[in-house]
Amino acid sequence: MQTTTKFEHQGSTWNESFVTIARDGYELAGVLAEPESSCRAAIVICSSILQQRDILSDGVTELARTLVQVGFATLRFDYAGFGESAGQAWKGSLTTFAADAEAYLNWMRSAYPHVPLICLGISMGAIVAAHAVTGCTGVALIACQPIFEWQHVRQLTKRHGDNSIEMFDYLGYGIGRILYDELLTSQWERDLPTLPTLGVTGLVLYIPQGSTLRAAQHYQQLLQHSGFAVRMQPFEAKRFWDSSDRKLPAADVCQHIQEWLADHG
Amino acid sequence: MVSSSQAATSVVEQRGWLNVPSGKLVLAVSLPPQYEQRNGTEIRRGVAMMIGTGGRNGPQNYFVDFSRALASRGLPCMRLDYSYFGDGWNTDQAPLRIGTMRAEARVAIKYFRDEFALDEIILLGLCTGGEIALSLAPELPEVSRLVLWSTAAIESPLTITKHLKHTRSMLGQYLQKLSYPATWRKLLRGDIDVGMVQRALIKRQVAPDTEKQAALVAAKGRQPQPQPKIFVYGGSDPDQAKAVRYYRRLYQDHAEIRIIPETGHSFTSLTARDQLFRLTLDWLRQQGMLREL
Repeated sequence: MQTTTKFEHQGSTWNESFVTIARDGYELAGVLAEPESSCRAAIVICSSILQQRDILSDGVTELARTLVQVGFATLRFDYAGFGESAGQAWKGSLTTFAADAEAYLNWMRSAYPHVPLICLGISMGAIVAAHAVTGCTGVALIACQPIFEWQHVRQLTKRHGDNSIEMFDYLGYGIGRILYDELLTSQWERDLPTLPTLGVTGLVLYIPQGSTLRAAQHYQQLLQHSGFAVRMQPFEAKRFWDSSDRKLPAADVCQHIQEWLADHG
Repeated sequence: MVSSSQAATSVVEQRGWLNVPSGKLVLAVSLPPQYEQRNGTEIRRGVAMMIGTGGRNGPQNYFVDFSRALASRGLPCMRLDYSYFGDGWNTDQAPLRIGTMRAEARVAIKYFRDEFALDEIILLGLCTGGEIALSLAPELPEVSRLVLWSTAAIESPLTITKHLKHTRSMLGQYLQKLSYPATWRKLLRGDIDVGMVQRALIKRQVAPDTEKQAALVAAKGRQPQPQPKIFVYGGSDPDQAKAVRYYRRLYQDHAEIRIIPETGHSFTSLTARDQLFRLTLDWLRQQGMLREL
């Protein structure tokens, strides 16, 4: 059993390693993918929350592997209490998830001190990434398919109005009151356009798929004067109606990131 | 950078890749506290967990949590990413085949057995993972027990008639949904996932297999096996009634069958999860497989 292994695909070669880091007495589990050739940037990927990163529809592994093949070192990880990271899910909150991401950002910075460092969050992971980058200097943010309309929160709200409950059953995960309250009071959508004024550079990326078309239009309007780079892949009817594959379109995301980096040096 | 980690109190985990002809598998092994190489004449047992589709952590992390629960009670546990899933890698980019999954599981079990010097293996399978476990058991003398969660009756490969029957049944359900106002609201908002509907109509959880491969798995899985085994189902799992009838007929009184009410195929609630873990641990304890530390 190899803890680091070499991959080859279509002329690209890279290595992947299982890594763990300690944070507050917990060990967090992750996978580092490193290009064999020179590295253009290092990216920590924050998967969506309230689920594990290897869930099929998210395609985090596929995205990490697509990015490494064009020269980005990537790190994908499990939040404390989820996946293979130690801890208890019900103790998780946006604050602890962001602290997990920060720990890995610091780890990546020491591993790759001379290349740009990016925190990429997917769906609800975009909120985590936005929190994490405000705690680290000089880290760019990529918010990819950020959530819209708080569907998870609405689901929780419907079921769990009782303030005395400390833990909720969310599809078999025990979710703590702290996270629930944070999600209800989060000002993510209001805060996002102000991040550039805090010195955070970054990209908000939306690739309309299926019902996310309305979300894309929403973010386009919200961020039009923000100073954030915003890339919206044009809506394609074919993509909409052929959305048989719910995975994140890794190739499209990778293409947009490369174009954004080229535009912004 | 380390390859093993302290996952929970005193349980140590190792993760790594294993090269196979179809690509790379990922194995994650949870080891009991102070796990040592062979101690005298003690029988060494381990649990190999196999999922149907999805990654090694299992739905809602159930495999991770259960493997740690077992390791803390003295049983080493192995979880597996097939080359198609999780951090695995499929080199030929071939569609998902049950025969390939079975071959990969076999390699992983052999590695687990040899690397940790195990005398007996308990196979734990979920959904299609259970079918794979049943089909592997007759070929592996080291398999001593089977734990089968939500394992459907093993049938011959899907035929066109069965496909049509499934599609007709799903169409009926969707037509019924059209009578709900909420469905129309979703339709008008564009919130219906057309892809998901397509997938539901055309049963394709495991991509078209070769008849030969699937027939082999089915034939092996249908052989009644002598090892003690427990089947656990969710009461709302649509396949439960048929599977229970099938396995009762096949094993008479030689298998324990348990149903957890008010939960479905993936036991998706904290209550169901607790019940699933508790009754599986109880059964393993009755079988003398656990030692409380």
